[in-house]
Amino acid sequence: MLDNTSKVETPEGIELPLEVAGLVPRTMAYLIDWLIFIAVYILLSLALTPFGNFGRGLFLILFFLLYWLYPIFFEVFRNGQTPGKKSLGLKVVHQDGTPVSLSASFVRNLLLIADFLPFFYTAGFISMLFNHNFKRLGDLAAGTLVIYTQKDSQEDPIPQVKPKAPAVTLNLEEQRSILSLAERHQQLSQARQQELSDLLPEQLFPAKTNNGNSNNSRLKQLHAFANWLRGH
Amino acid sequence: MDLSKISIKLRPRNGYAAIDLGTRMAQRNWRQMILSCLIFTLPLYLFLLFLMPGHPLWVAIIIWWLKPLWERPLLLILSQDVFHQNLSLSDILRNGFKLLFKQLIPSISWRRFSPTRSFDAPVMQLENLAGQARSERLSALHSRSPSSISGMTFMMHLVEGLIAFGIMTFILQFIPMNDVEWTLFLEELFNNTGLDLFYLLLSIGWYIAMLLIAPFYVAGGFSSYLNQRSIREAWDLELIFRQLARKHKNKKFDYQNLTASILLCLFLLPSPNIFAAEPTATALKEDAYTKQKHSVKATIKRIQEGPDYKRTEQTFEFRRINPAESDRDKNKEKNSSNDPLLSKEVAKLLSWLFLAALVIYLLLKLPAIIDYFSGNSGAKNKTLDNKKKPEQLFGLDLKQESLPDDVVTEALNLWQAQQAREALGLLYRASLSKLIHEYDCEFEDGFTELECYQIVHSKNLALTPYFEKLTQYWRLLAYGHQLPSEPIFLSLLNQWPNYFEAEEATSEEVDHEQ
Repeated sequence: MLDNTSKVETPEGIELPLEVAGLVPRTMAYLIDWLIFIAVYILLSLALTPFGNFGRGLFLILFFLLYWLYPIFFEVFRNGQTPGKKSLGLKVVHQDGTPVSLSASFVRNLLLIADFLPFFYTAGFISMLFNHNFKRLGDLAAGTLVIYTQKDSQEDPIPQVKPKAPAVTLNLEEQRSILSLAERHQQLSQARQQELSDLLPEQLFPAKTNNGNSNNSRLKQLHAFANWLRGH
Repeated sequence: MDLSKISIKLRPRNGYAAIDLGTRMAQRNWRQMILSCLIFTLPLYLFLLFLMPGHPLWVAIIIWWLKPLWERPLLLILSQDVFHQNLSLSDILRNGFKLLFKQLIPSISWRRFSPTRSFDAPVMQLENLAGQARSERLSALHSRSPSSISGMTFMMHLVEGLIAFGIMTFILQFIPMNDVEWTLFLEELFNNTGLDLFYLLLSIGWYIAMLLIAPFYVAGGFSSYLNQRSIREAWDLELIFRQLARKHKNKKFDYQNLTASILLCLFLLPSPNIFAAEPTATALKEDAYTKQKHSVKATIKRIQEGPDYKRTEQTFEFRRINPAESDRDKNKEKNSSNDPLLSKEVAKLLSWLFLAALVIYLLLKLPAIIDYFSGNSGAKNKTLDNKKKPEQLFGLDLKQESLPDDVVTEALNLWQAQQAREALGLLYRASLSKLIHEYDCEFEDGFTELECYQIVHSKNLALTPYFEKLTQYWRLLAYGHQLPSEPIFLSLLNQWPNYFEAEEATSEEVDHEQ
């Protein structure tokens, strides 16, 4: 099964899927950071021009510091997110899922210059396209990943029906699917929902309603199961 | 389409994650895809280069323009791979050439610049839709699709351009420009053939970049398309439900169905041979066939009328109810048009006022906005949510209703009844409850006693030392089972009203003053 995750196993034997971010969102994030850069530099040069040569020198020093330290600062002190990454919901982590450290961030951002070769990030693009975890050269050297931040899971509303237990035991994935069917009751067409509920085996539904079980009542029973699974 | 054979993990993804999955699909089939690209474009590229050697960039532009055509075999490879079917090279060639001529003109003229080109391609190529049906289907699929698809088109173009320049620079770096012999050789070569080195290299770089990017672009669009359909039609649920059904069918073998199907087979299998001899039977069969065909057509039509293929939109607009009246209004407006300036001025004034109000409102809200953007918005939300105060901490009930009115006497009674644990517990519980409800200490569910104490400590209240002592004795009792001696308990008890009930009075006074 092909998925867009990188799996990390904890010492406790729990598998954590990290959703790795690829070329398109990362390039977009970089573009946003770049625009911020340009805006800051224009402001800086405007502010420092009146000071003549001294201002020019100061500008160059600030340029150097900003260019190299901007991503490192944000990645280490702002939860692995530069403003561009934050706006796209991305963040940098070690490949085992832990927050990125100062040294790893240094390595990956200094090696941006290697990704830049031979002209405007050609090496980085090609590396991101062909690496399984979409790493650029800096990521390969530092052992870091760019992943999607997980959104706080919020409960979608489900139709309120009197809860009822399904007649057979279901495993986690099946329980999730039944709950998800109820959560998506507004996005899916009515016909499709009935079609889906018809796929389920008879045994799932408690015996007494089995005879004369119209499609609609099946769906309603599934909603009742969902309420039960959610513990209402 | 058999979903159980699908080779990608189905789940609703966000727009970018779907594109990333596409990148992995392209990585898996990369060799085959590049090979097919080369077969379909390299001969054309070389031929065109031979035909007009003075314009290498134009050659690349033509190849670029024909992209929708030579990307079709790539989509074919991907769509087969999704269901674990490997195509041989000859299959790709045969089917690919057939595909090239499908809806040829629209694809390379007005549809060429659609920002959702790779997302739309499967509708034409895999669903075989054209004309009205196609555009309706597309608008249905687009109705809730994320902006990431056109974003991808933009990004891929950008990346393609940058890689083209990158490859050109790369090659240029390997030409020894300082070497006189080399320079002379190159000059001679290009003077004779009319080629321009720079443009030739750019053209080659662009061509290679197109070959590199095309598989990922097609796969990104295809994966977004699959994701969109999977969300709209709940493929992930269908897959699991089918598995569940199969599991239960295996568990309880269905003899009824088996006998029925065997009987059906017995009747159906020989039937063509027997009935074929009789002309009436064939006629009957044909009749049944046409009937079935009709019903299939009707079903197709019904499905195409349905929500998956048509988008319905509810829009609201203001309309004049009475047309005659509206005409009169118009006339009136015309009559009163000698002072349009005035009404215009008023409108202008109003809009300026509105703008000013908006600016003032935003200025007033500025601290909140800055807070929101300064990164601790998460924490802020959390405290907002936490306005519902915890009702329980480490197993102690903190609801105000659960406390007696007179805590001190109640605690004393308990102490005298040899229930020291309950007595000190009541005192501690009442303190926490007061701290939560009257001093606005933000305890969260799952705090320990020490964490509560730290919150109190950070607030710098007068009662902090007392609360520290109380916490200490409570912890000794609760976890160490060490009873405080009677004088200690009594001193705690006697001091309690000083800190909690008196303070309450003063804080109320403050409230009144405010």
